[in-house]
Amino acid sequence: MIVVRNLIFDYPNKRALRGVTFEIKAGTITGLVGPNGAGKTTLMRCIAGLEGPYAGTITVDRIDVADSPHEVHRRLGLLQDDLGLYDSLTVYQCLLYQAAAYRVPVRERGRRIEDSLERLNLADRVGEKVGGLSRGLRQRLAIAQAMIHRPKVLLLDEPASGLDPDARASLSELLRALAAEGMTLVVSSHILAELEDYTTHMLILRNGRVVEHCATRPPVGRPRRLRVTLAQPSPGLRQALAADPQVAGVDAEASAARFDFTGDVQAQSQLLRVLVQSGLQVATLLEETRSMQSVYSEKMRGTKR
Amino acid sequence: MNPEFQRNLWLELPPHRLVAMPAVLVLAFFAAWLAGGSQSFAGASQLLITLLLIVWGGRLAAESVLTEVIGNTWDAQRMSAITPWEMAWGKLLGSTAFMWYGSLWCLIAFLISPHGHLGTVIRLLLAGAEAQALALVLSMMLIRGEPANLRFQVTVAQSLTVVVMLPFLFFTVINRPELVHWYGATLSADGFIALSQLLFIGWTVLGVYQLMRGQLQYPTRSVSWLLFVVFAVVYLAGFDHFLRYTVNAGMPTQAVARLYLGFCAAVGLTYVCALVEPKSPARLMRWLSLLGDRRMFHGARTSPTWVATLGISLLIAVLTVVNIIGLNGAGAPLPVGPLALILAVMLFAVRDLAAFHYLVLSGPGGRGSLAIAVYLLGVYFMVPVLLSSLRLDFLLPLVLPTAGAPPLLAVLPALVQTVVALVVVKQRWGALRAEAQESQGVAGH
Repeated sequence: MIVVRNLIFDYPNKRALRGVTFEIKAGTITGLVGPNGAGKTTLMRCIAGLEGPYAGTITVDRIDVADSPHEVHRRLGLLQDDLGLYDSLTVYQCLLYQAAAYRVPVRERGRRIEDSLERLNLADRVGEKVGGLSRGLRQRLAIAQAMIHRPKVLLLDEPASGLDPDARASLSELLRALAAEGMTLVVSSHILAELEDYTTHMLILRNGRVVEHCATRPPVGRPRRLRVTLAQPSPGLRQALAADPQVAGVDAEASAARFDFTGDVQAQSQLLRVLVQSGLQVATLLEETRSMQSVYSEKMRGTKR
Repeated sequence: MNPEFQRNLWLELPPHRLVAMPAVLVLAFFAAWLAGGSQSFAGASQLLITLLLIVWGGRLAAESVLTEVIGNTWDAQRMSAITPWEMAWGKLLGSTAFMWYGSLWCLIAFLISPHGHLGTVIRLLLAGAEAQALALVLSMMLIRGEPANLRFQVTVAQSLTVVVMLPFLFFTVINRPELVHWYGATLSADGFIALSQLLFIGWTVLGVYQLMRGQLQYPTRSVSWLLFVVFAVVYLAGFDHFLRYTVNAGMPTQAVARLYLGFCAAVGLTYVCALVEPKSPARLMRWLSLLGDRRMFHGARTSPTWVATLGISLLIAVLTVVNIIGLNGAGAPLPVGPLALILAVMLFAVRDLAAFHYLVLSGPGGRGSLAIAVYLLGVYFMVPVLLSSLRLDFLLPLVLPTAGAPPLLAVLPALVQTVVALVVVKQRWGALRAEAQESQGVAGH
């Protein structure tokens, strides 16, 4: 959905992006992370066609951003860090303006606005002036504005900053729902634990370069790494695991083992039952995931000069 | 309805403002009438139209884009499907709607007074429209360059508008001449001024539209600007009144003097263009790289507009020179003075343009325009003042084009300085290009 090749971007006296290359697939949620000044916001602005790079190409939905920025804008929504709302307008006026500005057909505008108000829990604020809203409500309104024209790609720069825990949880839920509907999301954030909730991929930038671009959870159908621990050591652990055809790559000790498992959660539950029935005193059976924080820290250590 | 116009109407014309404006104006008119009767009443309504449309309206028009930038809403507008034309008129008329509403009340008051005059009203309204369009053009030029200190830039745009509009108002409303002498013809000032105002409003609105195209990422062409340059050259060269300023230049005939006036206007507009065009080093580097790679077609397409404006100046200079030479009969001595002056003007213009670009390519980010302003102030104000105060006026041709200077002194220093400036820019460009290639090499690995 988004393809970036050899992107170079210069500010006066500073090279912000240095040959950035990556590809983002449709329906994914990519967490864009990196220290301050890594080039995250600049990259988002380049993808949105708001900044012209010195060199390199960007395509969104196979459309070249430099050649056809307006075609890209029709397919893209952007939530900027600073929100950009009209404080003197009401919530309804803001959404109506945005719908008209994006050429949402007149007969559809009312329905789109109602839908956005409902999804973002803003229906009871419709007549309020934006300037009087809390940070959380403003954030929700800005997201509603960014998606009123139903873009295929949504770029969100620090969407959770200033939100309380409840608002963050509902934001995570919303982003997951949008991705499930087929929208491609790129979310820049400093809060890795929060990105962990909903991202499928992580793109780490440092000093204008891509340090890592990886999946944060295995795609459906790919084996997951599980870890089983026993309350009492047992030599039969390896044998019991090997008996299951969905298990491979067993790395067993007397009281614990790690292995790849191709089954789903139902199959995992069945495996647990089998292990218990075979007399093993199972204490835990967990999926081993590397946290985004650990991947990030590892990669940042590796690239420090 | 145009969404940008609609949004501005929501902001500018809420019900309480619709009531407040006439209430305040009625009080002002009543106070004026008490102070000086109908004469004062009519004067107050004229003054209020001027204040509302030119001063306040100019401010609002200048703010219409800058407040979007300050409020971080401009990017969302740039990404919307609003067309440049919709955005241009939506902002121009929408942001000033409250001022036009107030002016409507003033206009009615003026016309019902015994001193009301429809012609004056029309001229004031046209001046208001011109001031607002001009303020918007200036503010958009300012954000195109270095969008820092935006509040200050609004004030700069508004102040420049007032500076431009004051003489305009003086000659169109306060001290209007009866007749205008243009290309030898004597014309009625009323018709000429009204037509001129309409033409300048048209050009300014076209300027707003073109700048909006650039901001909204639509392809922009220099044709509109170049047509305006041609119009301005033809328009300004026509004023018989200006011919007196060419006396020192020693132009042999009135026709040549008009050409010289047009040439000076074109050179002046080249400076304006070079000063207001965005001067990002990256953009300059791209253009110079295309020329360096001998990709002339692409180079010409991406060239800054001042290049073509300088081309027009050169064309008029050649026409003037050909006319001067053609006037001379066989054996008659060539009038070298005017020829040297024209050459000096061209050379100093190239020197200054090279200096501008050296400063842009060398200065730390965002400081290019400030350095250029200091350079121009030094060369065209401080040095001449210093030389005059030291009674060394004969040295003026060393730094700027000087009418009546000995031909060799007029041309040689200008030529040397131009060559030096071009060499220095070429060296700077070469160094930057090497840095960029090195950096690209690193990125590629």
